[in-house]
Amino acid sequence: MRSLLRNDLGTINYSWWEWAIMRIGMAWLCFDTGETLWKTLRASKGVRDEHGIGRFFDIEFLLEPGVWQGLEMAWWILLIAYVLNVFPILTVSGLLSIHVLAGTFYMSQGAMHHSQQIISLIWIGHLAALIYSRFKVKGNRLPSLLFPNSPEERRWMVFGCQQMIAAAYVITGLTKHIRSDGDWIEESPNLVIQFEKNLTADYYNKLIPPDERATEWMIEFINGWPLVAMVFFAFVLALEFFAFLALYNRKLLALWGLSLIAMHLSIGVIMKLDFYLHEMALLFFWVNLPGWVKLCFSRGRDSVQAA
Amino acid sequence: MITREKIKALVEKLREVITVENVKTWAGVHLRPITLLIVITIISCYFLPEQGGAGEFFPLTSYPMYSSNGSKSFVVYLKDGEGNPIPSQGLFSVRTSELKKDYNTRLDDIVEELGFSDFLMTAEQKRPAAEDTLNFLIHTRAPERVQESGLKALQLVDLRLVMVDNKLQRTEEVIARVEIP
Repeated sequence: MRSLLRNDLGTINYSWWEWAIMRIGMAWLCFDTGETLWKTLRASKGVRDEHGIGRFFDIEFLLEPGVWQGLEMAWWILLIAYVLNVFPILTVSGLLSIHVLAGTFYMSQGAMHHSQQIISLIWIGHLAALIYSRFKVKGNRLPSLLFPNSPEERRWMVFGCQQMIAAAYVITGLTKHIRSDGDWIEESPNLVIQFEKNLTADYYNKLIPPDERATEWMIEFINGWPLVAMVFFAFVLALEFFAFLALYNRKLLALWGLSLIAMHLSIGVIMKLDFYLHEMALLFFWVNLPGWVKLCFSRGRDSVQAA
Repeated sequence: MITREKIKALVEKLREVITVENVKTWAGVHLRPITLLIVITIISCYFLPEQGGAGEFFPLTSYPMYSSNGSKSFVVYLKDGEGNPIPSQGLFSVRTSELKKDYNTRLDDIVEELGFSDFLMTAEQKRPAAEDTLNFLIHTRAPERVQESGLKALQLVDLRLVMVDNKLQRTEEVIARVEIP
């Protein structure tokens, strides 16, 4: 229990193989996200509403012959280099730039989506940590520029990625508080409308009747026990709002990560929404199953202070 | 019993603990490592304008979905020229939620122009938004898929969900019809 309260902020050590598995996980996420982005570029003939950096220059240049196809190829090559841990600043900058470009085009199709942002956020955290550790860790010479593998660099890179995942949840929680004028929990019984809306929308996507059992159970629960439902939603809000606390140590990261994954899975069943990228990002960077194996063998000595 | 002396003693003790030095140390240990998180959170929640989707700046977002639990919502779906519902995701790889978001962005412009909620608008008033969304789908978003479907026309249906006295009311109407060239 005491180890749950220990402050290891930014000081958790990660083995080279833990970091390698995380990189493979990130590449897996990028494989999935890339499919969505390239599919949009393949099907679309233009931009609907200028969005993000698309307000400063014409993002439709991506549709010029060979441009997005070239970017797609660069994306896969950089991903391989990233997994192999070669030229990290170059690969991470490249992957971030391509994702922001393709993601901006995807978001400029007239409808806002909020699944892709987590990938760019992780790349931002990764790059910021990489640059920071370059300045902080003295004695970096050419070999380490090619293959950064000092424990301190690994620590910062993983922490940078974990921070950005936490930021996504803190932002979500804070926005709920701001936009509802602090009444989000009080108004949470109205979520039944959103459940109905999603069921209906899901049906008209494919004209296949969705499995309504979980949603109907939830609607009955909220209508029958509104106060209990409010307590439940307050817990969910706290889970998002205080997500930064998970960064304190390995155990909290894993417990919080599993709780958020459970939250996503239950919302997915009830509201027919997909949180695949968020769930996987949590699984790879927060829950970090290989880390548990390490923890068992090292008896919890995973922080700089303890090592 | 809370006495004046006890409060005074407590304030004294707090003064001893909350010193500039101690606050600096605390911030150094607890806040400095998460500087990036704090900066991104502040930018996303306070510096991005919150109006509609315009405040989004990929990859920064305030994640506004389900942030205000109103008692009204709506869904959009498609019908063919004969009035039969069609699966937009199956046929065009475009989900109904995407169509709704696009339509909603056009509706927001009409709301601004007319000065009242789209829940009070007639189908006639909403028509330009629906036509715009259908035209975008047909000519830009998925032109090849639309042609491959062999459909002659598309109709956009606006289905409204409103909670009245703890009961859900559903009303729907066709807002616009666009012929496929």
